[in-house]
Amino acid sequence: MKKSAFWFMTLAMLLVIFSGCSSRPDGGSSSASGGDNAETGSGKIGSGKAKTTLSMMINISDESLTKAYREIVDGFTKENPDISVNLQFDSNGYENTMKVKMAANDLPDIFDTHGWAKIRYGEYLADLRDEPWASQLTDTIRNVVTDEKGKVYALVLTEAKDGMLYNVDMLEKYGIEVPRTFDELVAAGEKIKKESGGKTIPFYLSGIDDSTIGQYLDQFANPLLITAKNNEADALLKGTFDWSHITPLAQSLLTLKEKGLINEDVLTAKRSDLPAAFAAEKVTFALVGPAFMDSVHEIAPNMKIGLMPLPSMVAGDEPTFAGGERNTLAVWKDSKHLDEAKKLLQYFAKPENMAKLSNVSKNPPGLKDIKTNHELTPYYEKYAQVRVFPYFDRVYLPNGMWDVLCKNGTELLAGRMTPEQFSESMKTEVERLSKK
Amino acid sequence: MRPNIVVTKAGPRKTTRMRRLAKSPVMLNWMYLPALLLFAVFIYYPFFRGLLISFTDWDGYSQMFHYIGIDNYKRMLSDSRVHTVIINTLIYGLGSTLFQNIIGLLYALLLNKHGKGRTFVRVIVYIPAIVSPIIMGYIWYFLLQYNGGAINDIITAFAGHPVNLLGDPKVNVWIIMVVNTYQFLGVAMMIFLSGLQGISKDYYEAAEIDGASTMNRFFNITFPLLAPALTTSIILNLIGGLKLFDVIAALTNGGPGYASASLSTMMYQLYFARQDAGLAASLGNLMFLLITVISLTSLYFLRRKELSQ
Repeated sequence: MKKSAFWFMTLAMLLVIFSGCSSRPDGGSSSASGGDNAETGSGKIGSGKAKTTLSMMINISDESLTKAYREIVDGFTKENPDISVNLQFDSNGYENTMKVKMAANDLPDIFDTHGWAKIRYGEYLADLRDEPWASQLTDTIRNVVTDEKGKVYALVLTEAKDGMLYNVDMLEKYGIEVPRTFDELVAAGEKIKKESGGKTIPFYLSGIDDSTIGQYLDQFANPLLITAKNNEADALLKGTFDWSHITPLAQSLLTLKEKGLINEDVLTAKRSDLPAAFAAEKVTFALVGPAFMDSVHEIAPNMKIGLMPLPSMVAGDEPTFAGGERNTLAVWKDSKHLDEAKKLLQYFAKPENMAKLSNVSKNPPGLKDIKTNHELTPYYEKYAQVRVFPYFDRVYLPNGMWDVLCKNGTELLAGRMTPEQFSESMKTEVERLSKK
Repeated sequence: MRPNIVVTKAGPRKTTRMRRLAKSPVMLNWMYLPALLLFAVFIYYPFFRGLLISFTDWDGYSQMFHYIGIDNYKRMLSDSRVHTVIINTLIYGLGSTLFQNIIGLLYALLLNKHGKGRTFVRVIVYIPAIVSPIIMGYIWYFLLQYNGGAINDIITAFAGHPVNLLGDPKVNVWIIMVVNTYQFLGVAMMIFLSGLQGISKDYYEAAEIDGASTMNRFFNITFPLLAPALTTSIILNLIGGLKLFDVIAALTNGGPGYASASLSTMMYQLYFARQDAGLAASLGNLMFLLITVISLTSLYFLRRKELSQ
């Protein structure tokens, strides 16, 4: 008895160790965009004789994009041998690292503001209004990085023009036109699911990386509340918004789940498995930035991925894009090397460098008159007249609400919160954060 | 020659003085200073700063904040999510401690005997403890995940469909507790093994002569004499379980929402993601209080039970 118990317990320990080693995530390769241990390409660039070293932190890990940054910085240090640049790339821990650096009031000379130049980083940034490129900021981005006093917070290398990425061949295969309204989107999803025999579930969200759920709520908040003629923009800005009006947004997410249009394992799926699922034609639509395309093409090089604007949610309204900062460079106001930092920004703002970053990232450039040519260029041209609205949370929600969106959305999908409770929680948190 | 004489005369006197100084309580107290300094910088200062921050509305990064009294504590105590998180933390702390000690003791008793493969099995049982908890979390995630998880493949073979084990708050909290137990029961086993090897064989021989049964010997000799080891193991496991972070982050990230979060993971999310440093600091202080009270209470009762050999 003792002997058998001994071997049973040994076997149990061994079984778990080895089965853990041999198990695999479904679908094989994960995101090519780096992950925690990706080769980041961080390091010092420039001559050893340089008198000044600029510190620079960038919020990306995508290999092709980090290479482009390095090449540009390399060109700059060759032109300016007195200056070297300590270039650091990070994406997973970037926000937290920057928050700690802000709390310590010890920031890099140049850094990426990733959508928060004014609201979060504003008090730490130098005014760049007198820089030669400042007047060239595009019409869609100028107000995003400029305040009412005219202070320019950042050089926008590329701006976001986000809608939904979709599998072009799949829509053609099932004879589906690009949806223009939310109802058409739901109908398209139902058709795809039915005709694929359940092999394809149109939408993929991740409860563990709950920013995908926050992204859905944030991007569809504009079509529901902002983009239509009769909209709630003023009420939101004045603080008189009736928060029950956001309930349909929560309901729309729940509808997708109830109709089985979101991956069944939504609460425990990982964001890093999305490219593999998309490449395997298990997913049709993705609410992600264009960098996602490279991850998919590593697995399915010939897959045609298209970009569509966000479908409207109010009768009579038109589809729109969500926009804002994507890749930016800002200068710490207390930097000891302000002039050198501004010089580097001027170098980045050269048309050939702007075009290079735009082509690699597949995002529109943040300065005017930059010629680009990449996979999404035809789509940006096709939808050139489609209106671009800033991300909902960056304009209408106080700083700190992003996590509330993500967590509440997850609770909603888990059945731990009703759409009405979602709205109530939004109201409470907005009031709390607005008092600060 | 003269300098030599001076050296030989002064040498022993200096050495004696040095020895006396080294042995004096004053000198010993000075020796504490570096350790105290490190404690002050890395433990006491952050602790008092944390206490201070819990009375503010600080967002965690701005240079501006306001003192808001005990508002954060009021919010913390009235928030139902915090209540869930406290219960989760207790499950992780007390549950893991209970199972780690029971299973660890069983392993120790089995492996204390001479037998083939004893060392091999000890290594196997201890191996999980040297794996980083975040890696352990990911191993179990791949075992339990809905699509393609080994355990779900087995469930599908019998039930016909997979089960979302990690997405169900009624289940995932217990899974996290089990994973933590599995990982660190090797530590409990080692503590008990060292305790068992310190018990003199004479007691068992005397008991055998008196006709004591195996159970009698266990409850009257082994268990009482293992009390010091039990105290160490329980306290270590309790503190580890109540602070649990990595495994939760890898398995569920505290979700859905905060349903499987511990005080540590919620504190992290409140500070960095929700930018609510004041509430995060209040939670940190609550965790400190919880660990202190539970650990000291356990220590008090366990010490009373201890017997010296």
